[in-house]
Order: sequence, then structure tokens, then C-alpha cells
Amino acid sequence: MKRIIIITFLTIISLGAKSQFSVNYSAGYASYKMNDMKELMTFSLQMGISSGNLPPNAKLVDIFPAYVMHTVDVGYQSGNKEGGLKLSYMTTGSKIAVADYSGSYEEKLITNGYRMGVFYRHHFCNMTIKQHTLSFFAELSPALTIATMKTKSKLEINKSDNTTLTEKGEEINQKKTGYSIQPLAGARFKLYNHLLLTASAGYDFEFGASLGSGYRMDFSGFRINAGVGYMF
Amino acid sequence: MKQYTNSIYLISLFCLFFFSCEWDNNDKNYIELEKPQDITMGIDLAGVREDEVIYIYNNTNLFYSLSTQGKALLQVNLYLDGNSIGSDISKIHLSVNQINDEEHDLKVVIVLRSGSGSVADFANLEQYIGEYNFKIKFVDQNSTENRLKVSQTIDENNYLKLTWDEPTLPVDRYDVYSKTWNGDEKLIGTINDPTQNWCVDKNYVYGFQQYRVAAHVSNSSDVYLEGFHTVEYTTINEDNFKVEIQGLNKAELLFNNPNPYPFCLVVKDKLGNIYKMRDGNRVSFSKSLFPVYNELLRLYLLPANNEEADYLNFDNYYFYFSDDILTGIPNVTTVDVVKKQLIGSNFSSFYVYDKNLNAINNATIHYNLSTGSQINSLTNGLVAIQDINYFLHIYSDNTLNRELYALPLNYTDHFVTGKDKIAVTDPVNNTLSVYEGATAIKLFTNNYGGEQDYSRWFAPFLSYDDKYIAVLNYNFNTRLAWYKIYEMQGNTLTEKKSEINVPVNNIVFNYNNPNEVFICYSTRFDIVDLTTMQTKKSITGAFRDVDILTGNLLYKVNSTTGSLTNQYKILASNYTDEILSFSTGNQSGGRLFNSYFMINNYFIHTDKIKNQ
Repeated sequence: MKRIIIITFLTIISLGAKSQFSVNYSAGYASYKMNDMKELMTFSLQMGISSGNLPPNAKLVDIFPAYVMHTVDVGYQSGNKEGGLKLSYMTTGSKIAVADYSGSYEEKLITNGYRMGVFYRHHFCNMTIKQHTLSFFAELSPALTIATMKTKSKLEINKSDNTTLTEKGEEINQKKTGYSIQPLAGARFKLYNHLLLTASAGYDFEFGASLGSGYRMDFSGFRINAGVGYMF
Repeated sequence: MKQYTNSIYLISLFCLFFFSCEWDNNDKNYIELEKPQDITMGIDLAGVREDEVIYIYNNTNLFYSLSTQGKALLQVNLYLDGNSIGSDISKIHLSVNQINDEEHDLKVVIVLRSGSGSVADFANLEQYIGEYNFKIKFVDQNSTENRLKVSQTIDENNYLKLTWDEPTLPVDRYDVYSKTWNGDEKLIGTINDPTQNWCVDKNYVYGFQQYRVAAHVSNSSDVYLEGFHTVEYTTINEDNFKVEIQGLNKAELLFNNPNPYPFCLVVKDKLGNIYKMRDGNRVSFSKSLFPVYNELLRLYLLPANNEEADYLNFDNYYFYFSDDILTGIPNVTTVDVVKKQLIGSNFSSFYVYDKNLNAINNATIHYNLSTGSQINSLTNGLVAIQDINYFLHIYSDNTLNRELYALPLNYTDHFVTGKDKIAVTDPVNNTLSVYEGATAIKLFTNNYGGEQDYSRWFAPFLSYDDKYIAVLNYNFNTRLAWYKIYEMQGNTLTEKKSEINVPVNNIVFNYNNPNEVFICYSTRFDIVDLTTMQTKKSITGAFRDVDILTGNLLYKVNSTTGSLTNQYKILASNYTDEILSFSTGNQSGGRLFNSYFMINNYFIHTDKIKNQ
């Protein structure tokens, strides 16, 4: 994989001497729709308690909240147009937990999304402020999303001899593939012709990644990113 | 190019950074809960006490219940001599193959959930644990050593008392069962005092019954030592019952119970009337009117403490009784006026009865009698018996030891005896012949002429002193007769009285008064003095008999046709004083012997009739 990426970069570099390469890292905040998974977790909690498979006081302490995401893109800009590769990492999860004097019990379901795609960015407005440049852009990024899911459970019992008995449950791992398209709008501030500060917001439409039985890992949601980069 | 390489390194660092940022949450949802309190738990193992010996006799399930204070049972672990023998939550199965007759340790470990709702409770790791220890010992209850030896006696009230030896093991109680012939078993008593090794069954009165005594061994669920006993009793048969006739329609049943147990005897007569015998050994009951033969009594023997109304729940016995009857049931009887005895004979045997009608002698006769055979005695003690071939056998007395001769008669002949003479009528030839009783020498024959007529009774009559003789010619069709009464002197007959076309059906000379004769008409009879030939008295009714020993007169009151009873009267020898008037069943006959009223072979003393 690494070899493919390097070859792709070299190919893009060789397209024109006047063109500029850039590398960006963005940290963002992403919400995740995950309706199916939330329903699944709520149902599991109710069933687990009523059937005695979960402690009676267990509850959902977190259920697929918005969480930090990370994005790296490598672009090549020529004029107002910019295109490149984009890699995002999305993560969220759900947790059932309870603790008391006798010990604790927790059960986590973690979903991670690895979004790998391309982007096209159009800088439709460029303004020069002293020797710096501010541009506004619109971006569209189709991608392939590899969605993973894993469960972790742990039971800890406080023994009378002040030791703890820990028992971990069997982990379940699932990997599914989906695809997405992500429209964004943002602004980029280029300082001293090399240093890039970017901000963007948009919505990521995710498809696929079905777990069967009508459930799927739906990473769709709003995206807000802020990043730094370097333009060569 | 070097710049690109740096960029690639930078991207790789970012990627590593990504993976370190996986979602996580540290919220533990801590809940404040109270720790569970100590509880009291317990076990009830078939009622036995902990640390004491439990006795078993076979493959056994010891059922137990737990006191868990509402806590859920997680598990039960059973150990026999430290080795696990399972974990049944309701019973402990012990196989005799697992144990010998030594004592064994049984441990029951009970684990309950705390029910606190805590995480540890959820994980079944927060528990109440109870441990209980018992001793187990195998008992071979079928061994001779352990078998109870049961015996029977009676208590102070004569009730059946069962006593058994002290059991070889400590016991809590005794159960005593009764078992009938059909195998039904019923618990009749539970004795909770282990020192009381006896039981009284007030319900036993008679018959086969087996008892089972089960001594329940202490600290055992179903271990008991058994003992069996079958009641020894004397069989009751008809010899234990006797009916004494107390009157024409009254009798007493006597019960000689060969067994000592208090009883109530319920007697149910032919009509369904109920009588009970609780104390003593006799009970009066009503019978059908004299004479009765083989009348049924149903007898129910109940324990004394049972209500007689329950008699149908008990076995019943059939008992048939009859009025007193002459031994041998002779076909024909007459009075031996010399010995004052009754004599009679059936088809093959001859009987002599005393004044109380007890058979005092009997003889086998070497010929047969017919139903029409006559038997008679002479006033001089000779006895005449007519056999089936119409031979008249004359014996010197009623011992029949010496037969003097056999006089051949025709089948239509009738004979009668007096003191020393025998008179014979021949309806074929219409003759009356008189023989010397001791020698059978014919003294004379009197011919009456006329045509042969078989629809008549042509009969002779002779007074007991041979002084008077009579002949009666009774026509069954017209019910009219002619008769002649003669005074006999030697071979000469002097007619004393005669009538023709009169409804006379019998002529009886009186033994007690040789000069008196009873001339019996259809609805009356006249008492005629033979010296004066005057009618001393005429009595309405049918003459039946004069008691040779008392002189009392028996006659039957005229009754309407179809009457179910006959009414009799007994007059004193003066024929005026009425001694007795009574009714009987409507059997024909009726005679008196020493104040015994007799019909056929049935008899009852007139005192019983008078006093009933």
C-alpha cells in the first residue's frame, strides 16, 4: 500500500513544474448518525438486564457520540483547482457500564472508520493580504470507507482479600466496506507562500458497511475540520 | 525529493497518531449499594436432625427443603464421605451400593445468591454458603434381627391386643395397619410413644386379618422395621348358632362365640326385620308362623363399638332354622300307648321318641315303606308296620327285636289295631276282617256287599280295648258316608250306631275313655257315649286328636277356604274348659302328644304357645 501511495505522488509531481504540492493535516470534530447501532445497543441493554445477562443497574453511559477525527490529504494545485488523495480516521463507540462496591462491569462497542478517497477542491475566491493569501474553496471528496467494529467487555470483582478478579469477555471483530461522498466548504490561509492554515465544514454521506439484519455502521454526519499544511 | 520524503514521514506520523486516538469512555456508572446483611439459612432434610444418624434401608431419595430467606438458590453440592455425589436441588439420592452398614458422613453445601443487585451478585460471586453435616447408616430392615415380633393377646375388655418386641433401633413412632383377605391395607393407629409397644384394635371381631406394624426409625425419611401378624381365631360355623323356638312365631337365637372379642351380632329375619345382640349370647326374633322349615336368617357380626346400622358393611352369614322336628323325619307316627312313647318310621328306619319327643331308640328295618304305609301299635304293646308290599309286620314291642309274623294285605286294604286285635277292611270285597294280633289268626269276616267302588275310603276303627269296632264307607265324590259302630264280643258284632248319607269322615275311639267315640262330621264332631249311645257333646270344628297322656282334646276351628292360617283349640278332658286357642300355618294335620302340639313332624310344647 505504501508503495502505491509513493508511486501516485511521484506521478502527480511529474505533471507540471508550475504546479504546487501540499500536505495537510486536519483535526476535526465529527458527528455520527449510527441510528442502527444506537438502536442495537439500546435493545441489547434492555434485553440484557431483563434476561439477567447484564447487571441490573447497568446503563448506557455513552452511545456513539460525536468525536475527534483526523484527516490527512496530499494535494496538487494548479491555478484554482486542486486535487489529491485524502485519508480520514473516524472513531466513536458505545459503552454499557455499572460499578459498585463489589466491582465493575463494562461492555464497549467501538466502531472505527478508515476513509480513503480523493478530493477535488476549487478555490473560487483568492485574496492577497500583504504577502499572504486567503482563499475560499469548495471541495467534493468521494471515498471508500473501511468500517470496523469490535466489542470489549470486562468484569472486575473486588475480592475480600483486596485483590481484584478480572475477567474479560470474548472480543468480536467485524470489518465491512462502504463508500461515501463528502462535500465541504472551507478557507485556506497561506502564509509566507508555504505554510497553510485551513478550516472547513461539511457533511459526509456514508453508504454501505452493513452488518446484516438491517444494521449498518453509518458514519454519516457533520464534519468540522481545522488543519495545518505545507505547500512546496 | 528530500522534501517529499520528509512529507511522507510526516504523514506516517499522523497515521500513527490517528490510531492512538480511538474512541473511549471512562464513565463507570458507579452505583451506591448497601452490602448484603447476614441471613439465617437452614435445611430440613426429611425431618432429620443435623449431626444425628439418618437411617436408610434401600436406594433412597432423601427429599429436603431449604430455608433461604427468599434468596435464589445457586447450587447444592452433596458429598458422601467427602466425595461429590451430585447436586440435586430437591433430593439426595443414596444408593445402597455406595454405602455399607457403617456410619457415613453426608455433607450438604448450599449456595445462595446474595440478591443485592451488585455486580458480584450478577456474576454469582456474591453468595451465602451453608454447610450441613449428617450421618448416614444403612439398615437392613428385612433381616431377622430387625423384624418386629408381633403376638396377640386380649386386653382387660377382651379387645384384640397386639404386642411387639422392642425394636433394635430407636424409633419415633409405630404405625399399625390392618390388612384384610383381599389385600386392602388400612392404617388403624399411630403410636407416637416409642415406649408403647402394643396396640388394641377395637374393630377386630372375627375372621382373617393380618396386621403390619411399622416402626419408623428415628432420623429417617422412610425407614421402618416391620412385623406381621395374622390373627389366630376360631372359625365360626353353624354349630355356634342355635335357634330355640319360644312360640308359634317367636324364637331366640343363641350364639356361642368361640372368639373372645366384643361383638354386635345383627340378625336379619326373613322379612328384613333387624335384631341386635350386643351383650349376652341370645336375641329374640320373630319367625314365620309355626311350622317353618329352613327359614333364612342373615347374621352380621360387627365389632362391638360399631353402630348396628352399619351392618351392611360387614360380612354376613346365612343360617337356616326350622321349628323343632322329630329326629329322622318319619313319614308316619303313632303312639305306643303301653310305653307312652311316640313311634314312627321313615322309608327305612324306625324311631322311638320319649315323652319329650327326643329320639331314644331307632332301628333299621329290613324292608321299605311307602308313602301310604301305616304304622300302628296295639294296646298290648305289639307294633304293626305296613311295608311297601302291603305286608303287615307285627313285632312284639317297639324295639322291633322280634317280628312275630307278617300278615299279607292287599294294596287297597286298611287296617287298624286295638288291644289284641287287628281289624282289616277290604274295599274290593267289601269285607271287614278281624285277626288275633299275636297270631294273625283271622277271627271272622263281615261282608257288606255292594259294588266295587274305588272312589271311597272303606276303613275300620277299633277301640283300644277291642270292645268296639266300626267301619266307615266315605265317598270322596259325594263326601257322604255310611258308618256302623259295633260292640264286639268274641266273633259277634252288635251294631250300636249307624248312619247313612252323612258327612262323616272319621271315627275315633278315645283311649282315655274306652266308652267314648268321636264321630267326625264335615263341620263338627260329636262325642258319643258308647254305653248309652247318647251324644255327650257336639263341637263345631274338625276333630284332630286327643292327647293320650293328658286327655286334652285338640280340634281345628272351621275356617274359610283359602285362609293362610289354621286356628286350633285345645280343650281340657272335660271338653268344656278351653286351655288354648292359637293359629298356625295352614299345613294340614295337627295332633297332641304329652302337651306337644304337632303338625307333621314339627312340634311345639303348648306351654310355649301359652307363654309367648
